[in-house]
Amino acid sequence: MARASSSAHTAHTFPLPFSRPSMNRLGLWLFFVSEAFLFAGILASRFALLPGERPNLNQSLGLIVTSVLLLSSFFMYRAETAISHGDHSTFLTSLVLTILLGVGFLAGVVGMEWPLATAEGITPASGVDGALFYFMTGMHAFHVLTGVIFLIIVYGNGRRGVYSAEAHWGVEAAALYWHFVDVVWVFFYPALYLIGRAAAR
Amino acid sequence: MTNEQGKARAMRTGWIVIVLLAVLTAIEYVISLMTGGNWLPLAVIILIKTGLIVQYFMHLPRVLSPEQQGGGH
Repeated sequence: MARASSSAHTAHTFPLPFSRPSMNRLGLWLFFVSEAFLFAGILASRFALLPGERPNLNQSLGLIVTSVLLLSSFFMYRAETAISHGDHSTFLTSLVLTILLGVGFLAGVVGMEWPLATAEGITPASGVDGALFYFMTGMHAFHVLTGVIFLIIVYGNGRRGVYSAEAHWGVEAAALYWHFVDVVWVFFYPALYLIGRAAAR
Repeated sequence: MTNEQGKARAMRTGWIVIVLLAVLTAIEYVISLMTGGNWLPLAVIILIKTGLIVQYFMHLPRVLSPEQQGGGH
């Protein structure tokens, strides 16, 4: 008993090299590194399997969904900045806008781009360009979907007053994840829509 | 710096970054049309856009120097 008490005292006395939020942050960034390997592999397969060409997609829609996702990242940044300064109202408003833009991105890619591509004859079985297009956008859309779910949970917590200027790790984690998903699209958008000649159908 | 000044400054940074990202995306689109999808200039823009998001939106310096302010517990 005396030993247990002594070791507890020792653990309390010696400061850890990193505080807990810093360790959380480092852990999340290590998760991003592992995710980056996954997306880098997908990106490498895109250029290895379809060198010099790209799927023949709707350029306007690609630009619109990209703008929507970038704008959502801005509102997520705004939400995090607001809560870190104790502004709950701006935090909640910005978070709702981020969620709506995220849903808009999903609607644009899965609800509009996929049917348009299918109508153009680009299907998962139509060839390498179709397989790559659905694999890349599908994998990314799944991450956006999980991000939207994460943000809805954070919004619910925010409404209940869980976060404050001093303690809002949940918001920071959701923001980091959302921006990471945005960074992935920064690579995927040119890879799918801009680099190479449009593949003939 | 007061809390309000700090917030205003951070919000201004956010505006600058999103405007830069929008401009770079437009440039990316035009370059693709002009060059027929040449990857080299697009790769440069991709890296700049990634740098902006990682540095300002994802606060990479917070990971590298744990003393910086963050989200708390």
